[in-house]
Amino acid sequence: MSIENTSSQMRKGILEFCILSIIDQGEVYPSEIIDRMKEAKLHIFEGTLYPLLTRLKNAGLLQYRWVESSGGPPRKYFQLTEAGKSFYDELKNTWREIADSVHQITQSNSNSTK
Amino acid sequence: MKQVIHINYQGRVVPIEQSAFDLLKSYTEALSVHFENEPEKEEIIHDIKDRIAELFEQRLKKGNACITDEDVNAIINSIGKIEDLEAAVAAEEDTNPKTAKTSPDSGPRRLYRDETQKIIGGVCAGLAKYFHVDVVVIRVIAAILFFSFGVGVIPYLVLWAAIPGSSINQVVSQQKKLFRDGENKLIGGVCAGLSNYFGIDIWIPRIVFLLPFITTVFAKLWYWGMIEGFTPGTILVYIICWLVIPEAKTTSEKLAMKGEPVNMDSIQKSVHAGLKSAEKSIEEATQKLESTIKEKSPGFMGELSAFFTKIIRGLVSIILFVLKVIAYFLLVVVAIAVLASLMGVGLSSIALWELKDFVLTGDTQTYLFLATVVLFIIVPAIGLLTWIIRRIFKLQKQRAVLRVSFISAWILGWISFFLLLALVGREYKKEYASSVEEIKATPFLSDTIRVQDFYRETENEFSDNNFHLSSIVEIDSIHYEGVTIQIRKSSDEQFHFYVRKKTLARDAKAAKLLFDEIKPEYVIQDSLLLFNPRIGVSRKSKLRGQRATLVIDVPEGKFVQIPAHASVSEIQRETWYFDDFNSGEPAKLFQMRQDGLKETQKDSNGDSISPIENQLLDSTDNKQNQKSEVPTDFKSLSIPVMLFDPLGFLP
Repeated sequence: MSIENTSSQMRKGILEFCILSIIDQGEVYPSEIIDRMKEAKLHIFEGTLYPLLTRLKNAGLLQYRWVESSGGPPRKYFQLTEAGKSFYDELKNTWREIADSVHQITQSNSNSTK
Repeated sequence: MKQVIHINYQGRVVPIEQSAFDLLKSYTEALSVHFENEPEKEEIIHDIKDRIAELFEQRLKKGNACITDEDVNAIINSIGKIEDLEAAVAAEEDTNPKTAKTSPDSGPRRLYRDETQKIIGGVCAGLAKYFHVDVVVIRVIAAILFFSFGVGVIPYLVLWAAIPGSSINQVVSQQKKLFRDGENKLIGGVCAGLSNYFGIDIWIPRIVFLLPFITTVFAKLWYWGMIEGFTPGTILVYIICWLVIPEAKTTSEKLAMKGEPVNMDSIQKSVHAGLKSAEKSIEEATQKLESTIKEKSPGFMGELSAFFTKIIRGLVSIILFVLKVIAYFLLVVVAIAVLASLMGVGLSSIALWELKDFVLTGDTQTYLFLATVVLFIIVPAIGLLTWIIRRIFKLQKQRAVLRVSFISAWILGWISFFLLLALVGREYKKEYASSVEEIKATPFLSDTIRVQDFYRETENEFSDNNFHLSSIVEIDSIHYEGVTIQIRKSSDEQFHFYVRKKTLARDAKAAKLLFDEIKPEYVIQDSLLLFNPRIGVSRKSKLRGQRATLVIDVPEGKFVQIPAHASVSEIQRETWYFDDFNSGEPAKLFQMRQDGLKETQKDSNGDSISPIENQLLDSTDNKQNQKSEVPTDFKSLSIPVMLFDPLGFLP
């Protein structure tokens, strides 16, 4: 058991959720997602993001459209599908429950240690 | 100096150092290998290359002449070094449901209790699944076995205990160890621990341990016999278990006891549950108390106070425990008392079944009676028993189906009870009195009519004060004290005798039929009236409160003598007879005066002496006129009377 493993395990769990959340706020292209994650101090490799986006798209949760960009090749702009939206809502509930539970435990933990 | 080449990258011309290009090439090839198994490999690679091209564009726009090694390395770091991507994917695969191994389902076909389809314990449903038969078939078989042979109960309980339930996690790979469950315990947690280990309902082992006690109680009730030898055995087994099996104390032990995988969810659950328990909070409170005491009074005083706190805490918990035990005990006692009285009524109804014909007429009433006993008395008894068991063992499952069916059965019992009352009550509507028939008696010369009761012993009698029954097996009649004597003043100078009958009946016609059945036994011989205070009713005439009254008209001045054990009620001038005919006291004598009966005595001459008043001239005159044939020895009356049977009334 190493701290890196456990930590990355934790992060892996919420990765999908965060990405869907970003896309839910409005259609974005991948590097935008990376930037937003970086702003929130959640670092992710593009090499990890692209496969994930592709998987989500294949699962019918995402769709994209090509947008020509002036300074480079055309970009994929992703949005949530209907299915993706409800999937994301479900994840939101799960997250809320987990967050409350963890908060409660760590709260009481910090209360009882003197 | 480095060589710069121009490449066509994603449709754009990019000037790039040769070495940088080599780096790029090897990276993209490694990526290709990395994504070898991805279904969308081509698209992913394409997207990544687009991204690289975009980053090239940014750098060139900034004013760089070409893409350098540093640029490429930076880009590689940004997108992700191969080893980082590998690590990321390795971690992801554990959570990816597609690639994770599915939990081993049942290997060989295993027998489980199907708790999703259960009515009681899911035994029949589980058996049905295992044999691929319809559940109903299994249930019918079980019902037949139970109702016709009484076999079903014990095997069902055994199966219930032995076969694990489908709702319990049967992950065998988790190390499941046998502990005693301290949190769910009633006595020592043995049964709770067993239930956790085997994945069975908690009160199954409890019933198994208690079964000999329950069956012994019922055996005493039903059979007056004993179920021997079983009782001490289970106690011994329980104590052994209590001593040998360790109690699960730490959280991991508790989880191992239940066979739950140790992960965040289960730990959170257990810790949460642990925090909720009251004992913990008491401990916390007292610990705080101890620590504050220790802070405030350090040193010896602190130790002492802490010591006292421990003692007080121990005392409090002992007191609490004792109170809990007492409360449980009282609750159980009360519930059992109610239950016992219900069962007593039910049982006596069954015992009196033989006598039902004396009250009920026809099949309808019989069925209603049966229905009432079962639904009104036995069903709530069973329901109460179930409720007791549930309360004792703190079962949460409140099966709505069972509750509803019990209550509706009880309501049906009420309905049938009222119907029965209505139907039967109809027969007892009104009391009818028959006309008074004169009994022909030869006039006698004595001035005293002696009244004497006799009791005829019937065969196979059970002695009781008022009810005498022939044997329970063949009851053809019930006898009870139903004959009374009424004494009136005669309107003339003669003694007269009458019989009057009374009964409850539906109507006058039914009453007349019943009157014919009432046959009081009596004989009037000379100056002696001998009668049997008991009358009998048959199944045909039924118990309808039949009574008969023998009326004696006593002329004024004459006497009537009644046995010592009888008494006269001045108000009603009726006499009651007690079952004490050997009291040895002299018979009582009454004289009919102008204003009614007065108790008197006769002196040795045969003259009457009134203890209260002076004698009236009339009576003495009468006495002297008529020859008294009254024997002075009253005691001798009793004995011969018992054998006296002039008309053959006695068998």
